[in-house]
Amino acid sequence: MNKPATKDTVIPIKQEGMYRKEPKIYPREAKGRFARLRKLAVWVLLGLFYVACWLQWDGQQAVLFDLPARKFHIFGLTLWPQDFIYLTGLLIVAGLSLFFFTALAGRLWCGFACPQTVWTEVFLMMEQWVEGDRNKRIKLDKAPWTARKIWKKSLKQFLWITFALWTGFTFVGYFTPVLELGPKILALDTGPWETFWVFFYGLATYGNAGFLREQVCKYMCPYARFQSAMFDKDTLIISYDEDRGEPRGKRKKNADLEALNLGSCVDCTLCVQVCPTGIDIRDGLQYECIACAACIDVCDEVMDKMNYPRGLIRYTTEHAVHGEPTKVVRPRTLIYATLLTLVTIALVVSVFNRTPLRMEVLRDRNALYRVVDPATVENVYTLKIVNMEDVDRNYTVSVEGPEGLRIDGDSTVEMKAGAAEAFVLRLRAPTELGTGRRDIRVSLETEGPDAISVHRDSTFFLPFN
Amino acid sequence: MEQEHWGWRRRSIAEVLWPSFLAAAVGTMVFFALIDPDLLLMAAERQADWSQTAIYSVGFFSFWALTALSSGLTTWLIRTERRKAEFPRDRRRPPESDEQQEQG
Repeated sequence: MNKPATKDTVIPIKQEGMYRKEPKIYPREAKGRFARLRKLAVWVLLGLFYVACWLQWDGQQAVLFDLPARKFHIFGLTLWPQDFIYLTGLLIVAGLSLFFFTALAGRLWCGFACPQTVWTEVFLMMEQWVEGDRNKRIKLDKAPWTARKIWKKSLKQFLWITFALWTGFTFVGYFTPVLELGPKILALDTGPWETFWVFFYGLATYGNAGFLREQVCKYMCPYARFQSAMFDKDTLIISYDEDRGEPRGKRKKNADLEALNLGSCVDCTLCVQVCPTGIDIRDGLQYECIACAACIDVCDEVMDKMNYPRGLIRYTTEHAVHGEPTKVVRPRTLIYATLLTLVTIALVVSVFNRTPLRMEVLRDRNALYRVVDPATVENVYTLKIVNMEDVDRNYTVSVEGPEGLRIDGDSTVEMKAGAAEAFVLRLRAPTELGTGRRDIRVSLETEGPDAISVHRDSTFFLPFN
Repeated sequence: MEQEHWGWRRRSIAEVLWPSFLAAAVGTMVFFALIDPDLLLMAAERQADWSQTAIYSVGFFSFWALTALSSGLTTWLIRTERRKAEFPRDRRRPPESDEQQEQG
């Protein structure tokens, strides 16, 4: 005990403040139900990301965020900046879903769906494929720089960088039509900002999934810090069954546990080795735990080998651990579920009932009215019309108001698909109406069977005297 | 080659850059949903020949710079507060009350 403390055990307070130094984590590969589930999630989610930009819909990219034209195309639906409310709605739905699923089943998002987890999983797959399993990776990192090590490290970097750049390319492909972007990149003819974003997103992927990994969850992620606020005693958590497992210790297969005074935990430390955040689940629930369930998989495997029942580490609730019934339906889940359902219905209904036509009526700023001849008064307006459909349209302008009010000139408007234009509208009324202001309503209607219409209220000024 | 430890410096950088990135993303979305970059070009005092993508990108990074500045200042204020606690000599207090801080 008189040996000088090693680097790992000393906490150098002066230089590091309150932060502890931590060793690099080499997560061991886990095999089992949850690992398969996560692989499935990785394939589905990343599959969607890498494939969706290549899909075509009505002769154009199915999912395209066309920033220069300020239009978002999502499978035939074209969203304009005016539709920003739907994006807000979508974010609220996403937030509520996160609350709901967290209250119900803990950090499902972290373990299976978070881009950080999903991309890290892919980078780990590549690392494992090149460098081998956990022990081989640790050995390789400790080994001197031989030709073999240089080869393995270079191959890994090559795979990582290629994959990261492809990810960056795919990301930009959602903003610049991907079928145009490909040839442009091959011809080294991309715009400066397109090139920049390919590298920037690629670098972010590489950094986050290759190097930062669990540090993102531990130090950078706001959700990791506040998710516990959604937890209660009925939330699914990953838990080590202390009553059953302790006292832990090594033993031979088929040894008499009672004679040895041992619990089910064989202290193989595999649960620690597979943990991507490097914690020991046997110390209890910790905020670092991203609920990836790798420790469940690996412990079940060990229990099978020992002929012990599975579930020494398992998905459970705090109530279940203490032998009390778990309530899935409870005020917290009910409130989240109700809010989620209501907002989702409201969002879906409003998207499908959205009128793809917009009009604003602006009064002429210079003159309130003009007396054209002794019998006629004229007011001038600007109509700003946006045809939000993907087809050309003809519209008819009509006006309601005092007796004798009429449109001077053509009352039909032709507009190209997706066009936004301004038109001058002249309204005339007989002077015999008197003086003062009158309320009017301007309507715009499409022709044809699936007619849509919008209207705006404005005012018409008659002479003051 | 690979980073083994995360000291406070690296952690502070991460803690500043990531939340400010998220805030900047939200800010950029709201800002450009309400304001067309063409209007910005028209309002610019000098003639600027910027592409839409350039305006969006520069807009995003301006937001990020601003939010990172704010987060950075907050982090710095908190850290310097702690440093005073860790190095009591720096405190401007009478020596008799200058007790060693408990460290653990």
